[in-house]
Amino acid sequence: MGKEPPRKSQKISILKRSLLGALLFFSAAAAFAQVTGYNPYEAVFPDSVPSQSLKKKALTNFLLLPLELVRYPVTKVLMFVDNNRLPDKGMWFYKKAVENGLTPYLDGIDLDLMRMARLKKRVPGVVAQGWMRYWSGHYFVAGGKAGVTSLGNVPLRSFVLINYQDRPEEYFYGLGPDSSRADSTPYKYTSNYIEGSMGYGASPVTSLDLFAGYDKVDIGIGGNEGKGRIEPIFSDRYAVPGRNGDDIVSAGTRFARNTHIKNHGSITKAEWGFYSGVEDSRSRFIKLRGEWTHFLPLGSERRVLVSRLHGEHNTEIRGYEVPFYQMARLGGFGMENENSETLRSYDRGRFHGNTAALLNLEYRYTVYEYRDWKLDTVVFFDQGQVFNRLRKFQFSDFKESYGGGFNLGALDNVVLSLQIAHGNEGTNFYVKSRAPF
Amino acid sequence: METKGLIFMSKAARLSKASFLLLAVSAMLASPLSAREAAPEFRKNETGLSRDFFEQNLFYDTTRYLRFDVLYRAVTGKKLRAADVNIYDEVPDNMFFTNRHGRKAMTLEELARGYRENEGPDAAGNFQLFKGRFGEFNSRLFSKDSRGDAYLLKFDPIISPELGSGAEMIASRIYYALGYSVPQNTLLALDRSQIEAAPNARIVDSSGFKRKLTPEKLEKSLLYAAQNGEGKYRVVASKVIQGDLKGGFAFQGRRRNDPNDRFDHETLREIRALRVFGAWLNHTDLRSHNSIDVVVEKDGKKTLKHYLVDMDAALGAESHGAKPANFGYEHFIDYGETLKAVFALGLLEKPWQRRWREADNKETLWAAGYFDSRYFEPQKFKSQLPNLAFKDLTRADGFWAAKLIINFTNEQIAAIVKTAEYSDPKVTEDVTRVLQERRDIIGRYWFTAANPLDAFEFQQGKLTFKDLGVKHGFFKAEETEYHAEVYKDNESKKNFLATITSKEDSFSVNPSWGNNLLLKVTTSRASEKPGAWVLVQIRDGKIAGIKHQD
Repeated sequence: MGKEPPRKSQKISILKRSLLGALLFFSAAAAFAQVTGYNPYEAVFPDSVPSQSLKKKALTNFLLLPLELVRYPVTKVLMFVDNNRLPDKGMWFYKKAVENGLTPYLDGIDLDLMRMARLKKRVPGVVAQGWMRYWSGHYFVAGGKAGVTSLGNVPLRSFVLINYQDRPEEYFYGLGPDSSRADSTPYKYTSNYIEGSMGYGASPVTSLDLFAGYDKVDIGIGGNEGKGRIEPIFSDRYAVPGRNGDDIVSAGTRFARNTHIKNHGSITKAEWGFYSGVEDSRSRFIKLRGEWTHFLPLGSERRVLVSRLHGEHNTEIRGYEVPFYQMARLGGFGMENENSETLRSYDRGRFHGNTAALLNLEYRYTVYEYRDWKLDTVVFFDQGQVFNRLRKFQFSDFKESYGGGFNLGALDNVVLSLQIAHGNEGTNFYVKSRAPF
Repeated sequence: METKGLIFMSKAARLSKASFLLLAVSAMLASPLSAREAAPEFRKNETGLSRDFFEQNLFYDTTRYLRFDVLYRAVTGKKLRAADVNIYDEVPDNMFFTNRHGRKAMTLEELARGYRENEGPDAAGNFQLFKGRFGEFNSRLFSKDSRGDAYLLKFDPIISPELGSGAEMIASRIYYALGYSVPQNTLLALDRSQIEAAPNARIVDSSGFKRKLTPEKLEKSLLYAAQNGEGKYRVVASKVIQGDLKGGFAFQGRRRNDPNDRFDHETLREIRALRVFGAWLNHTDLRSHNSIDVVVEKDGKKTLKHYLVDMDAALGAESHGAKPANFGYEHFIDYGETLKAVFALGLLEKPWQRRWREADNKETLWAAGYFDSRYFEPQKFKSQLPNLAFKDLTRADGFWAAKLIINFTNEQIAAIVKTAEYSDPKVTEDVTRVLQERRDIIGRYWFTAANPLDAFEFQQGKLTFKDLGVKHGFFKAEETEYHAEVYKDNESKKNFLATITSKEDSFSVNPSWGNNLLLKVTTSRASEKPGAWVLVQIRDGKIAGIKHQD
């Protein structure tokens, strides 16, 4: 069963190959001998090459193996995404939609009717916009705005605005700084608002407007099947003004100045308004509201201290009252459509009062940058209180919130904000698509 | 009857299947092993930015300590020696790497020519575009020249003329001289009339959709491409690699059915060393998607040859224009740097931020992008996506890479940079100077970290070597001292014999110590303590092994 002896032709072939091999080897060896006496690039490997067997790999990667079950399908999906250029296509669709007057958001859509009608370039001074926001169980907002931004060369502007809000589960906790979280009472808030305004844009950053509005507010039974309705809970303490809703007309003026660019500048807002219920309503009051937000870079474009002062005062006309839903409100993250100012460790709308004073201090610093993207860390301190009479103001009534988080931004706009806030009533977590200010 | 028939058919089918299986197994067993290995089926390794990002930056970077071997090395500080180095601490030629300039100095002409398959495209003829991508930032079009050869034409974007093409020309020549396989790249200036759409050509535009390349579409798309002073389009014509392409190679793991792919890629010195070469060239975009495997035949067996492609993100360039300031300092998502910044409360100015601030927040030169050597720390260089191979780079690997880099003389670097044909001589001068400076910084760093002794010879009882640190002027010869612990090198154990010291780059070995010795050589500079060692094994009076400390 030994090896079959090679045939003659095979023997010659082997001899030839051996000779050729030897010739090549000696000529190569001779060439390198001149230099080092050995060929440093020779493919001779040490005996102790580490084992790369499958068995060893399986053992060392033992903990990783279950995760491989995740990696595999994810890479398949990503290859599908790459091969079909889905990010490019998605971006193209988005740009096209915006170009054609349709801006999608996670919770709704904005419409630019002038773009949709291809009239934007022809009549650039005319505005016709619509919007819709929906989050199941929280809000449905829809509205529109139409008007002109200038009359010829004069920066006079005029708008008509209509807005519908349906908030099926708002909460009321009582009036003043000493209200209890345990008294949380759900209610349904519906508002039909129409407003006409006329203003003067003194400069691209400054404007002054006069407005007149009508708001039909319905207060209904909130979520939780009406458990804890406003009336029975508070009836033994005080009558909650405006608890059945109202029809309110208003007139006033608004001033705005915005010089905020990146981490510089400031935003100033001031409003004065007269509000009155119609027919036999008991609502009649004057509203004063002011806000100043300042962005102070701290020696670098990557560090900024944001200070925000907010104040609101509602004075009822003698014999009338301020409905609770028109009062100053504090608590929550404080985004524009939340109707409650930023006091992050407290629930949204946690404090209601005729007057509110609020200070927000926020230190933002950039920890990551990639092209147009950046990640800021934020550390904040909020302090605010509500009160019904100036004489009842006490420093000890201020409520604090402190915490931190991250803002992910693209092209200087926050697209994702993750924050955690702590205060006397516990800790709140936020995942939002924009920063409060 | 019908049922019976069915059963009968079923049995017949089963029998037939079983017979086929038996035959197949018999055929497999009967055929010699070599014949089976000769025709392995290589699956295409599909790669893309999303996949590379997910795997390298999200998956492997966050789970690497779940690997016991990685965890063990992290805890003990032990290094994993490169698996593909020979007994002389070199990388023999393989399917990733061919020793070229390091083995024998290439001439200036050879360096400037780079890799050549043919005399280059017909620069005077027309190029017919048949597929590819036109974008605002990078337009890459497959075309055929008048001879029918296929080239990938890479246009510079209008916002950064000469930037990407210059980087590609320089980097591809350097990588080729170092030893990697690259495509043949030729710089062309094409007149508008030389660029035409092939019949039925379809291209992808910035929408991501494929569209027919009409003359109007071509005209519109070329608006994004940069032109030179004469109105010609400057393009790099990259010869399309011929053969059966199998996607990119992974920087981790290996193809087990490839007879020449013996070691996991993260253990290959030439792969790890890409971190050092990348640092030199500021080439941050080293990842699977920028590589290509092609099936070739070697010793009668099918195997894969590995190419590096797309080097237009080297030097100061990046696919979207000039390189952002943090490239080379941080990974795409850099968990460590980001955490550090979070805890520093914004008070820490990172090195790249200081560099960028001092550069007045702008690029050095428009055609060179952001490329200089200020605060350049080669050991801290980071590719865009993290990579286990780069993390495993050892001193020995770094020394090997630095040795190859330091081989490039000022004149040779200048010859290579000239191939970029920058219109502004200041750019040529600056890029040359920066490459020279970065080369020296790399040399100084790795020749300090490792023991930079090389070219060992043993003749007539004398062990001679070259101290690359002294040779290249990083250290003074008169301040250098070499020490060697000499051991008798028996098969089973090493017996200490003596310690010898020399001020010269040689040791005289006592003949009475015999022919089988092991010398552990260290080097001290200017009365500093000796640093890393290099082991030299002498057997039968000949050099039998060299090993630099990892």
